[in-house]
Amino acid sequence: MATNYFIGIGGTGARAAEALVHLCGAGYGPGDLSIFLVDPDESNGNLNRTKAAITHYQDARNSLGERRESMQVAGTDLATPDPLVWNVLERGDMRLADYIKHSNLEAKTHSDDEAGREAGRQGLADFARVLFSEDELDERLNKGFRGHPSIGATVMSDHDDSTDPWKTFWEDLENSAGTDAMRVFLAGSVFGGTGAAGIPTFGTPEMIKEHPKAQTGEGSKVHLGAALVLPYFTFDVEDRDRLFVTSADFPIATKAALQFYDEKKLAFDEMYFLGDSLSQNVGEFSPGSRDQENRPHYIEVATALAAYDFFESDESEAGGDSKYFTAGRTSQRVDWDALPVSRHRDAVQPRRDALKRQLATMTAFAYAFLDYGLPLLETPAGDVSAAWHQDHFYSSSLFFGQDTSLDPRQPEQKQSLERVGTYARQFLAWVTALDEGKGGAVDLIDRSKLVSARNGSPELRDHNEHEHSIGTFMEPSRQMTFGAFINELNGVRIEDESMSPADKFVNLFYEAARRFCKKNYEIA
Amino acid sequence: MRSAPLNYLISVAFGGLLWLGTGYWVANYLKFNVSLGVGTTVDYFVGVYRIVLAMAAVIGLLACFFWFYYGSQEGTASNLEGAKRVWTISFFVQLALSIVAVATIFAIFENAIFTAAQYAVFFAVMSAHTYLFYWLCTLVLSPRTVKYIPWGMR
Repeated sequence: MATNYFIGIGGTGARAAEALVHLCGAGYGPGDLSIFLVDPDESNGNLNRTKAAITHYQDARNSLGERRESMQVAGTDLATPDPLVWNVLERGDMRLADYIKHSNLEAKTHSDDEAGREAGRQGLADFARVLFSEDELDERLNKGFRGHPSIGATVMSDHDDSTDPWKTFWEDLENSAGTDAMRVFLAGSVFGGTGAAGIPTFGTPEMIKEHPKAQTGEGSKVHLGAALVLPYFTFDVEDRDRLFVTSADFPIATKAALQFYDEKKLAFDEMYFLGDSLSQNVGEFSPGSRDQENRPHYIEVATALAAYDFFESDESEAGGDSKYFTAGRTSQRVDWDALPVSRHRDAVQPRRDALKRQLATMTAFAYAFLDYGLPLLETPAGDVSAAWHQDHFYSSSLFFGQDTSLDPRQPEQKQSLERVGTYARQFLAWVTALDEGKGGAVDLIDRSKLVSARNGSPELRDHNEHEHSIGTFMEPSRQMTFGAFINELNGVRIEDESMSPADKFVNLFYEAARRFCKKNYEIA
Repeated sequence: MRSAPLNYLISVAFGGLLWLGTGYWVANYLKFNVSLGVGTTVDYFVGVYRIVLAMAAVIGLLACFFWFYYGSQEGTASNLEGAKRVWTISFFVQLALSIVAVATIFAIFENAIFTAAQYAVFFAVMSAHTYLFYWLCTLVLSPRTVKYIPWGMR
């Protein structure tokens, strides 16, 4: 049973969930976490990327058996309901008019007995026209709420608790005991459609916090938090002849939303507001569906860090007067010191060190694992001279030949390693995509050192040709080479006989990456 | 044992002991058993034998030092095929040097009459200081990165 719940609402919520999954992948996450997403546009690219990240994360974690204490790959026990996404609407092509059965309300009857009821229904139909424009009533919602939270709020307040993901959520809540036993964190944008509709809807007291299932004798089982993401990007729009939101609409939508949050009595215990004045361009506009896939943005990392801060915060802080904490960049540059990691002054530096250490280690691990470790398994064990490999994975005698039980090339072992590799590839794609390239503001992981674009698709840079890649993807560094990484691999000893070859392989690479980063990047 | 300076010191100590054994005990055996030519004193023969032996020992030791240094370089770890070539070439160069050392003794004492056993002893002693010394030291004392390169480790 999960005690920490993350609910990503809309495109921004899904992208924040992706960032949180990758932070957990790097070992910077809570002990357990349950995630589900809310989005009526299930085919949109951002959502699909998050779903893939979660699936690959879980596959990698399930493939890993025993782990050393220092091994942090996919360290969080990540649970997801099936289905992972609440689509809000039963049918993808539904219109708001269909949802509220607007045509039924307007239907004329000629029976005298029904005249009174007809008048009542017509009144409701007219009232719907007051609240919603013709365009809003008639727009098909298969691509989300198109920046119109009033549409989303109407349909989101009515969710089916007997089907997943809500079913599992309520079951977990019922099984939890004590006040604030379950931490529920919502994330979404205030300027779009789905997030802007969902966060205040789920934040109303009766929806979650004060729901009968959440009550104990002394209070609510739920400690409710939310990250409201303010406008942080722009995109290019070629023409605007349909109902959708563009970045020009963001400021007015945000102003209205913030005013609403100020006036409305919502049940949140903690709220995080995140935004960015750099307004980076994330590409061409798409109103939704598969085309809506934007590259990761550091604000999504900051949102995931807010979730982690919420999950890790001390319960004794709850209650009392409201407290306000603010953090911001001190320059145009977004480096490790610019990321907000904690509301407590004393915790900032340790968390910052931990974040940098975990992301750097996971990046080095993923790169070395994919560019050196997995390809090496294509060479027969007897032909590999590397000491770390021979020490752990090869034993041969004159009479009995090779002891294959040690060999990670066995089909089952190799399959496990390939699953870890699939997640590592996704992590690396995400972490390097945060970098905007030359002249960009984000200065975390240098994409150009690890990935090169060949024939339009990103490929890992060959460690033989670019031996300094692994030692220069962050600043400051001692610029150590890939050979130094292999020397670290040679120095790791895993004596545990019960560990499977695949587990040993992953543990070995992770420990070497950890030692390498500690020396090369001088991480505390 | 495989890291500096321990591997350097152990190989020096081992080389020294080997030289004492071959330069003293084997020299004594040869002193009383070889038939030298007219005008050649036994002391002169022993002196030359010890000098050639010392030169072979120094070359063997230097080859080990080079291998220890080379094996501990960052770049070597990512180029083990190159390291294999370096080790093999070094081994055969020393094998050739041991033959040259034996030939040098025969050339200097061309009038002496050596038995087949003495030929074998000369070659064994020179081998012990060159390629065999190199092989044994690198087998046991190579840096971790290249420890599986010497023959016999797998």
